[in-house]
Amino acid sequence: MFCVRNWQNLRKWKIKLFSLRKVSTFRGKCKDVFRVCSLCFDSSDCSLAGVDLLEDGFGDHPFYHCILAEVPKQQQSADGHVIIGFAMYYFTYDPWIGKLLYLEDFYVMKEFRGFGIGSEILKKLSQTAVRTRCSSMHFIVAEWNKSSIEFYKRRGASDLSLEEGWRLFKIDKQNLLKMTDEE
Amino acid sequence: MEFTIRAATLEDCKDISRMILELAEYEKVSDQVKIAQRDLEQDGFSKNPFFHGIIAEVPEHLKSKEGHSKVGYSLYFYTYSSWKGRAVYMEDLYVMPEFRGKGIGKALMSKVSQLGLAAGCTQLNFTVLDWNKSSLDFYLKQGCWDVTSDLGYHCMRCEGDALEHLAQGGL
Repeated sequence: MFCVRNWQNLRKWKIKLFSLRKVSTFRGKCKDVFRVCSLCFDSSDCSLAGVDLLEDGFGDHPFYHCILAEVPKQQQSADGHVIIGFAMYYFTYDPWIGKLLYLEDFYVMKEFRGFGIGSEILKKLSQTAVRTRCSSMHFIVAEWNKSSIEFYKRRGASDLSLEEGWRLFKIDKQNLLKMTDEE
Repeated sequence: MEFTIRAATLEDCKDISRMILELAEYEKVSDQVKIAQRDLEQDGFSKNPFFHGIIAEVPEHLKSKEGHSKVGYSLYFYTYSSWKGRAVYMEDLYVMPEFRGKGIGKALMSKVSQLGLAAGCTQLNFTVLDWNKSSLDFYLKQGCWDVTSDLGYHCMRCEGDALEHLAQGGL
């Protein structure tokens, strides 16, 4: 487990301190990971349960890693939470350039935006990518999400779908089963 | 055509490396291949591999003009969806041109699907170049759908100087 501390005294909220923690040895935070994950999207689209996150994120071969942003108790959210942001990532592979870091989810609770927490999370992820000798960090963004696209492009990200013509494809479980049955 | 699909071993890295270059040439970007056979050996066959591979092999009497019996491959790894859980990502799928149209590509993809399902995955993801009409048609026929087209998700990348700059906290 590691932790980065940043002193930032910003605007009327006066958030003086937040820390980032890597979750890999912090099983007790799974409930918070599930909560902030659920805030990202319409939960009716989600079939994942807290118990899945626990089983899949902790063990000899975790499917994902997580960074959490935490504020001190005196800065907690309106509904009493101190875990106010997260990023979920894992390592992938490109047979042309080697290891990559894939950013699956990245979120900061609305009332804590605009204080540099998102930038700090991204910085921590980039440091992880560089330290583990990844050639690149990849992620997807919805094309209607103009503010996020601008946020990433300002930081040097390029849009592979627009620039190189890559299209993301998916095949769901029902069709996977059909494909294996046909063999 | 007679062929077998099996898990890749360390010894297959030489042929996998050869076919990676062939695939990059097919996608018209062979100058972008920066890693070599020894990188594949280290990254795919150590205690915590970054990828897994499967190979399509034909018997000796059916080998290619240049004498290769390993005629196709797929590289895949496990990923995670915060909505649906475990997923499998098919990074590469390739069959040498003279062995296409014989069901080898479909068999490779089917094997990745089987392995993914066995590992508890609920979806298989991959990317395709928009000019690759024959591949697009093949995948759509298998029941895949285009997430970029249908939901507007774009694949983004941050690399090289931009990644270093971000790590240093630059904007």
